[in-house]
Amino acid sequence: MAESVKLQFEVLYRAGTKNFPDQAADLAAALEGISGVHQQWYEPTIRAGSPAALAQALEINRTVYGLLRRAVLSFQDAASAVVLITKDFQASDAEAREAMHALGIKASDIQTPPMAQPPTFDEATS
Amino acid sequence: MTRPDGGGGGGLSFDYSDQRFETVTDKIEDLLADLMGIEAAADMFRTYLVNLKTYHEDEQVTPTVRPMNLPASKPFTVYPILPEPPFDTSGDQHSYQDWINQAYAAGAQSAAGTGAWLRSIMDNFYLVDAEALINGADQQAGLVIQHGTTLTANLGEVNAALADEWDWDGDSMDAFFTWVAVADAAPAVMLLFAYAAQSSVAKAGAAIGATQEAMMQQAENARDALEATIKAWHDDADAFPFPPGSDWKFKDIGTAIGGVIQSKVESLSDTLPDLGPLGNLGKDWALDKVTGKLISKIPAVKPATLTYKLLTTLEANEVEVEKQPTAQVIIDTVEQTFRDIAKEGDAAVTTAGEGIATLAASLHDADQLVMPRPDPTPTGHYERD
Repeated sequence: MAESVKLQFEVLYRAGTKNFPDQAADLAAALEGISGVHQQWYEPTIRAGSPAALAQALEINRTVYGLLRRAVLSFQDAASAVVLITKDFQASDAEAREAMHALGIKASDIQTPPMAQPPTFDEATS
Repeated sequence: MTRPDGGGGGGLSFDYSDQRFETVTDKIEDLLADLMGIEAAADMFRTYLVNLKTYHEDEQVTPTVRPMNLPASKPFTVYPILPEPPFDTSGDQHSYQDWINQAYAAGAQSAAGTGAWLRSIMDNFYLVDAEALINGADQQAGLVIQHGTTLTANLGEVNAALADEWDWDGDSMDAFFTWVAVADAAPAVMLLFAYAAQSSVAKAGAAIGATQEAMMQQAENARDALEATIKAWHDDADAFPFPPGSDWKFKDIGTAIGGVIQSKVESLSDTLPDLGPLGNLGKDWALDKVTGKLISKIPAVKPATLTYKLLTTLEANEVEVEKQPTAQVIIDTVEQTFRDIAKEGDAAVTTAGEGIATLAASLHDADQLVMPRPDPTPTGHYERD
């Protein structure tokens, strides 16, 4: 078994089952933080007459939330794609299967962890 | 929404609360009513004295000291020298006590609504929870640092390895490589914008807090001035209906406000978070100018709470004035002072927001940050070279 095959398999496996889902989860946590802060800022902003310093910050938070949410979904999609590719790799390549066993990984381990779709901005701040 | 006295969570401590401001402005209204009532009663008697008839039914009237109760909030006895009370055309005798009661009530009525009116002048600051703004800014700065650090630690290595080590032959290969490049940079840039937003809010919150401190302080000075003036009327009751002497002093209200709030904010600019690496961003923004590595340039979080504490130490510039103001002079001065504070507070909040509108517009147009959605079930097979 070539080391390069083992490395390829390991990188794919880790990306699909851990790194990308972890990244999605981390960004989802950031999303939750931003929506919480947004709600904390909202009422004082209205009461202060919506000056640019506050109103534009709220607008940035709303936009960033939308972009980050899409990033979460994007990483989740990427994780699913890479898991599918990894499964195909071990199913069609004997050396990949050998690498999988050498790494102590079972075929059933090649799957994404549960990944929840983050709420939309309106859902998060309602 | 009224913030609890003494501030709330987050360990903040500052000398302002909406409840205290409401209490002191309502107290101003009560004191103003009292003083206006006293002044109206005194004015009525002074006017009467000018027209005093020294003869009644052809008999000479001898003025005498006539003690009577002035029905102020804390009633006190005054000792005007007056002739016999006159009789009105209807034949109903009106005592001097009736007169003073009616005059006081009419004068006091003039102050109705003063508390709410004063609060309305400070509308953009009263009931604004500066603490919530600043605490939220601290939280957002923290989450940007936390998640930005994780982002760069996790993703760069994985993406580099994927780009070098896989051999997928499907049509989605090129799209996936494009995705890897965007995924490596875009989320970090998004967080930089979130950092810029918290910076703007932290500054605005500090400016609002400083303004609230100033208006609270001036309201308390006004309350003290009114209390001192009313006390002077009490102390010089034997001079009634003439105003008390000028041998007393009171804390000045209307101390020059110009520049105080903004200068505080400017003097503390080093402790306020700036807009971060995006602060000088112009309209020529492009993704290739802001890579994921910029996240490492995010300045260390500077606790806005410290800034807030410093900003809320506006010193009172107490000036002793040796001339008794009337109720109208006091309330006119309070009004002008509040308007000056509000004007300067608005300017400080405006300054806090400089640059944020440009950033918001840049973000709105930043199509490069809209991450593509990879096909979660790509066609093709893994074929090693």
